[in-house]
Amino acid sequence: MLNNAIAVYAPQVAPPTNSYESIATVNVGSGGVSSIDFTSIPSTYKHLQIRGISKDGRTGIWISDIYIRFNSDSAANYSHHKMWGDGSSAGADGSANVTEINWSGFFGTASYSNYGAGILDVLDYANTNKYKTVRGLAGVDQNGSGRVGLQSGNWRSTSAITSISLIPLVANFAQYSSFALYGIKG
Amino acid sequence: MPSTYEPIATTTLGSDTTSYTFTSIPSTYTDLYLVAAFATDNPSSINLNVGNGSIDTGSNFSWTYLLGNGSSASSSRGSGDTRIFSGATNSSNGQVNLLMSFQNYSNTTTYKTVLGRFNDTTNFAFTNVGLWRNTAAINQIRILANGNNLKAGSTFTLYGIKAA
Repeated sequence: MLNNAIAVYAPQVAPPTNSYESIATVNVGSGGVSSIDFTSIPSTYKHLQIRGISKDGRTGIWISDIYIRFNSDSAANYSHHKMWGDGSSAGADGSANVTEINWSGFFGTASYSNYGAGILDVLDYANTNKYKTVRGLAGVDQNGSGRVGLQSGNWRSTSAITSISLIPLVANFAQYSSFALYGIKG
Repeated sequence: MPSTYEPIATTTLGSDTTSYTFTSIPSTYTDLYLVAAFATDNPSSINLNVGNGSIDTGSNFSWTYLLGNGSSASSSRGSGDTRIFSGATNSSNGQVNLLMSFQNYSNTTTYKTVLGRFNDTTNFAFTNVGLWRNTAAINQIRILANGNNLKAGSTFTLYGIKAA
């Protein structure tokens, strides 16, 4: 139990074998996709983690965001905060009563050969007594420009999360974007 | 079920040394996760390099960071660099930790993006993103204390994470 707790709250410590399991992976093919949806998520884990790389299909814009929604809820039941550094200054902002969690500063774009990267933790996702909280780390570097940031988000619902939708701010996820969903046992 | 998250290699330094390198990293995982708990003999920048077959010492790296030092937050970047700047120790022998995630490290289509956290209670909390402009798979990772030494007793562990 203690080792599992450490594995969640201090993810730098490896969990015991089989307490961290791969649930599903999406690799974007040619033509791109408008969203990535993890559905039918089992309730048998304690926490979830999404790890991925991505960029969108636009040119000339090097940074963008991903919207996160749970259980197809597109109502104003979300809030989020973030802080970031863009190589010259640090910033922070937040939003309340919005229609999605903004996972920010994550994208590269088709003009560049590299992809942004991110890690998102969805904590206690199946607990029907709590609103749901997420934390994220994401960044993209373009060799002369870039952004790295930390995010937190909240979904004001006590429903267990059974689906997670990742939606590009604009355009589609480009080919070779890839997201993997993992379950962490408690 | 096969293990999804497993240790690849771990070491505890027996003597002070300028750097530590993981070699022969298998390509069979999706992501790598580096966990380091260490000290340096003098205040030092901590540099990360990667490579395929050998550590890349060319100007093929770039980075952007965000840090908070207890009174303010700031950000900086480096481009066309020979390393990914990954933090800095502020004291001699003070314990710090470094956590680095190498996403899709063995993908031979994309450049390689790295996300990091560095924590030194005497200096700052720090997060960074780094880029290696090479589509080759990463099979070597080096952590270096610039101009100084990693102390004996420092530990470095590399984990592999395998997606379905």
